[in-house]
Amino acid sequence: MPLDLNNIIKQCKSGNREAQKALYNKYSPLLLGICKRYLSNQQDAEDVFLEGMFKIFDNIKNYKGEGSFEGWMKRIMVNEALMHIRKHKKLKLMAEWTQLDQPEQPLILDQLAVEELKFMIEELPTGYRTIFNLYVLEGYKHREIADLLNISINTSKSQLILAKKKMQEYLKKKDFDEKVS
Amino acid sequence: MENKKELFTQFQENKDLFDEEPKDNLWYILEERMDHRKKVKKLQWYKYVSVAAIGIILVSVVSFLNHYLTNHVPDRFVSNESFSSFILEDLQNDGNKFFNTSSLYTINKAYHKTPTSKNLVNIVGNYQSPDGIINFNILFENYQYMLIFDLESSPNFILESTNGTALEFKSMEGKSLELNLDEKGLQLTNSNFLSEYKNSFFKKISEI
Repeated sequence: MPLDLNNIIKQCKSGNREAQKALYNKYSPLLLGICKRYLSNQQDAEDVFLEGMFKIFDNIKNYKGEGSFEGWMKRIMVNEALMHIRKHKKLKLMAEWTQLDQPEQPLILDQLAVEELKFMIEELPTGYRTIFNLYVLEGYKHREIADLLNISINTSKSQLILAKKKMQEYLKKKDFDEKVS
Repeated sequence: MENKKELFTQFQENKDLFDEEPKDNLWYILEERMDHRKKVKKLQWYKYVSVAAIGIILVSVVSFLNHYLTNHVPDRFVSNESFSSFILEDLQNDGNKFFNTSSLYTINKAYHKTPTSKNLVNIVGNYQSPDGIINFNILFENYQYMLIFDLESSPNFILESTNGTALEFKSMEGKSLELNLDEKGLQLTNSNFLSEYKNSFFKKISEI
């Protein structure tokens, strides 16, 4: 009989291995995907994923059912990834943009292929990628990112603008290459 | 135009682009770590319980020995619903912590026979007849009130019964004295051997 999520959570709280496996099967692709977005190295991503999963199972009894369970797990995984980046990548984020007051220009383009989107994220330097992930894909505000990474709001904004610029450069180069070929 | 979208929106719509099934061995590694954690937690729990149990045992042994060696009075520990503790306290033990229960019946009977009226507490003392010839003492001895005349030949009397302030003393030889407790002293109301002092007041001349 398939268990619903509430039952799985309840049984995971009492350490039921079958329920833990069910939860793992259900969410592991999503959670490993998060790790891979932050860490380009597969081994690092898997290490962080394992550490995050371990923390999820170890702390699941503290989950009170307030808010989405998926969101709770994602937060744990994102925090784990950030901890890893801080520890191993020596993240040095500084405000590098002097025109922060200028309104952000939307970049309207044709639908890009999934592989291209993936490539563009992978090619970003760690700092840009971290801010990009937190802002664009996790939906954090610059103020929240600043608190989370202990940086200024302007640093967060500038890193995002630079990430976008980097992506634009890639797209321009791609256009040029296509025209030449 | 319909296919054109803002760059960031394109990413947001493809959040799952990195999603992938983890390798099988990752679950086994995770399972191993969780098992190890469980064992560690169990061991920690046993450790805390053992330390707590040892602590409790030590405290119990020390406090028991301390109490036993310094304050041990067996009488204080003996009490049950059949016999009030104060009766048992009166029982002597032979030094080997064995109580001498042979007198238990006597003591128990005496306690039950002994008048409980607060007035009777005052009757203990030395009494004298109005002419100063007859003297007797009332004592509380061996758990009962006794009336003893100064004359050596006179028998000893035991308080046999009470009725309010009326007291009846009797001797083994069948002699009796009926006295009434009054503010003036003890009034002899009836006697089969001291009829000449009938209705006389025996005044208490001293406490014993």
